Amino acid sequence: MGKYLMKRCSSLIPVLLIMSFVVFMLIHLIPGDPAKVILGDEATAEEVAVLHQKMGLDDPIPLQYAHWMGRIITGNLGESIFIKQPMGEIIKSHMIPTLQLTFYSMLFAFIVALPLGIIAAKNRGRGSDSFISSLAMIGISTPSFLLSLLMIMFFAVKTGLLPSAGYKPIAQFGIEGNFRYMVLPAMALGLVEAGLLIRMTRSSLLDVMQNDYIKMARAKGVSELVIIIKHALKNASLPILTVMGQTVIAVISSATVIETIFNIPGVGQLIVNSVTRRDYDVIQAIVLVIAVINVLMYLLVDILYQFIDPRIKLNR
Amino acid sequence: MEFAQASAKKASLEEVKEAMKKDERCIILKRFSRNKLAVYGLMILFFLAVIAILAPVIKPAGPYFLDVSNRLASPGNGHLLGTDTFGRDLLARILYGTRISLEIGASVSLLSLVFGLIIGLYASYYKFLDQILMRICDGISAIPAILLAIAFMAVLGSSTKNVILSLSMVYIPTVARIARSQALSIMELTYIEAMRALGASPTRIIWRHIAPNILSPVIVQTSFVFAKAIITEAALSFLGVGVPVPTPSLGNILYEAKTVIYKAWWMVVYPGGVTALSILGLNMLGDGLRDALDQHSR
Amino acid sequence: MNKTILEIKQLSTSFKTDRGFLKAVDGVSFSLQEGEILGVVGESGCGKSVTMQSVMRLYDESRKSVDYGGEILLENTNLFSLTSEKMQEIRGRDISMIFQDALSALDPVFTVGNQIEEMLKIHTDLNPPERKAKAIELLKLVGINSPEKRVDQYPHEFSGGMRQRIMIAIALSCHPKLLIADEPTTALDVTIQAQIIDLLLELNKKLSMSIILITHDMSVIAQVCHRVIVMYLGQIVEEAEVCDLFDHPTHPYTKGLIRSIPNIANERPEELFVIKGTVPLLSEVPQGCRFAPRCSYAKDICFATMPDLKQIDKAHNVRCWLVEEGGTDHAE
Repeated sequence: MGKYLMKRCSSLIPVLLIMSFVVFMLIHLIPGDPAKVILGDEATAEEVAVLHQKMGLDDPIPLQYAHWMGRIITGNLGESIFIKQPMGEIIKSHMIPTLQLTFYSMLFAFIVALPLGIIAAKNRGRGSDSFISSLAMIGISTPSFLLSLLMIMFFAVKTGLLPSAGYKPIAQFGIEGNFRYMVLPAMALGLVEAGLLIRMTRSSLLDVMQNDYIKMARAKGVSELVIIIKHALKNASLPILTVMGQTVIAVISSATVIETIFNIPGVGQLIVNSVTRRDYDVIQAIVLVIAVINVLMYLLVDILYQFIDPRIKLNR
Repeated sequence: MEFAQASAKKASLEEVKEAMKKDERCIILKRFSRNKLAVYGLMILFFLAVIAILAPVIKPAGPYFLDVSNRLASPGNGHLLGTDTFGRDLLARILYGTRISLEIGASVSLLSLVFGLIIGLYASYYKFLDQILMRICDGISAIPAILLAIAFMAVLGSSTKNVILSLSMVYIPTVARIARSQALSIMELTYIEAMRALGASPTRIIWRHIAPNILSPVIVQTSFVFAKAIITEAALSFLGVGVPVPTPSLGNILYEAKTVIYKAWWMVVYPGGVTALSILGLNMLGDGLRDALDQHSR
Repeated sequence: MNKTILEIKQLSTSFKTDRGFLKAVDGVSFSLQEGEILGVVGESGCGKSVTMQSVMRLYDESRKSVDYGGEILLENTNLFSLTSEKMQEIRGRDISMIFQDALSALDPVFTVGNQIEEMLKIHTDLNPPERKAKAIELLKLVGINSPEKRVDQYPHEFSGGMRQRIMIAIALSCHPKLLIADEPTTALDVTIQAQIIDLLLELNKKLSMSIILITHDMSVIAQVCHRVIVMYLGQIVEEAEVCDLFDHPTHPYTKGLIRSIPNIANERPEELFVIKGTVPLLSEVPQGCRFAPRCSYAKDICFATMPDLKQIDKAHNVRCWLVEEGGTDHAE
């Protein structure tokens, strides 16, 4: 297993390199001079030039890239021009709300989608299946920010049940306080992803139910419910897991928009602000972190595969 | 005498090939029309396209006309769907906005289709190109679409043309990857080897033999790209970094709605409804296409 | 001693298709005694599996896509009159089934022991350690070595023959009165085939368990069965005790099947014998005797009217116009 992990990690490196290169190139093509932005409009051309050089912005771009990569490898993610905190702190403090949001969204999506997917598969072709499949279709067709607006309108404005914006960290307000503010955004994100998950669960289950071991289980006298929950679901879980892994990344990136609506101080909000402020190092660091999470997710799913399907041996 | 017979036989062979191709198309069309979902999807899109095209006819005043005395008016009173914060008629904004959003979606799909095909095909044919191109595509795909789009827009600046460009760059790798994997499996077939042995040039092999056979799954993928492009454009405009105001797009109408949702439900419900409807139509169409074409290629 | 375990009366099974209901099993009747091994033989598509899966009511009845007729009496209880829950109890406990392809019939993500214990969990009151012990005992019974270790292994870690034995172990776990074996040896090599057949014979003797053996291989029938039914297109065309069937095959189809067995003892023939034609689709069932289009002895009446099953000898029935009640075969 250890060898396998090392092999996978080493194949990540080219992808990460390319990605970091793409990001770096992009960011540095952004018109506008950070030095000027920092010093403000009053600054003279000389002052800008001095800061420019101090920040290393005079060097040719490939050299800047090399510097940056050099720093990354030694663990130094750079500094934010605007936020006077170590980069690690910045990222960590912003990741926490985003990760909380992601967690609750995935929970919602899972709780809603799995049972509905099972019911749809079991009743294939009948009324309940068409109904659930249509719901799923509408789910994947509605952008999460739209759903957020609608939910705010209904829950917060009309009925005043839930707060429409804001964030309360767990440390001060406890899990309940934190959750109350997370409910609407998490539901908005979760319900949209649930659409995809329902379809995936349904089709995966339907595929699996064609197999002989399902017929055998019936011949053994196993009840339909146990057949679906024990035999069918376990065998169908591989594709479902894969989709869930991809969903985590989708949720994190959709959070970009949702966080601005609900005013949650997460990574999404950080990126949008940083782009406006030309805070290069922050943007690069975040995109890198998200991409690493992405890749780690795939790795995690692969490892989970092994526990579910004994035929998969990763130690080649 | 024999020569005449031989050329007559050749002519009829061509005719047979044509008839067979027509037959294939008929079968696909039939299967497509039987798939209820696909047909409804197509109808929805058709409806949206029609009203978008007819926008100048329905609302000749255009989306910029200000009815200052009626700012943020609820539906009714000469404004079927109400007005926005500046007093512009919401129906007009939505009609023209749909037009722009659909234009963007269609352009992005077309560009992704063309360039994705080219990249995928050549990557599958030349090993060294494969390594470079696919690595770049992987690198781009590893970055979530919206983040990448935001970054591209920041580089290029806000304009409709740049939205199209950014989104194309985001989604070309998606199409390229499908094109490449399909092309690779076609290349496994021995007739490609046979063609090479006969001296056919790579260009000929790629475009006359591989490309037509991978069109179906690539087109299905492109229809999903269309849907994703509309979603992402809406998100970009919603954040304020997409189609620049005052040009209307479904996304930036919602951007303007952000601040007034407490007072003006119509600013959210109507544009939101149209957005969701167009994405729904595209998804249904994509599903239907996939089912219809899939059975054929088996 | 010779009590009747199973009695099938005029069983018919129809499936809903685009072209309406198609009858896959049409008026099949037979009975099975305790400790008897009954062979069911016929080409692919003749309805053997459908008949047996109907006996166990394995088809999805909730969708109204399958329609049954007739009666299935398991020791005087009509299985069609039972509710789904009651039928579930019967499956595995009173009647068990083993399938042709053991690799696909065993769930790949659960251990072999788990799958045996599943049976015990549903139908018995044993507690977990008792179930495990019983699972190990069953594996030993069917001839798996080191059962204590192998009980925790997964299906893909066994060879084809062993997987078949595991299926048999699962089927036996609750001591059913009847075991239905659907082509258990078709997917195995000849040597393994012999082992499995020996195992079935041994279990039949030891446990007095009735077996219905479905196969298209006449040589297996010859080795194992007491009685045989020959099926064609959803109907029984001949039934007899095994020696009688091989000594006096009467229906032209049966004769064809027997002649198809390559015989090493005799001189090598020029060509292997083949019954001409193929089994027609259920939607194109011929009028009159269903075998007539492929029969070398067919007469006009054969194409016009369907013959009934007639008894021509003790325990020997045939469905053919060419025989008369009580004897004489006009087909030679």
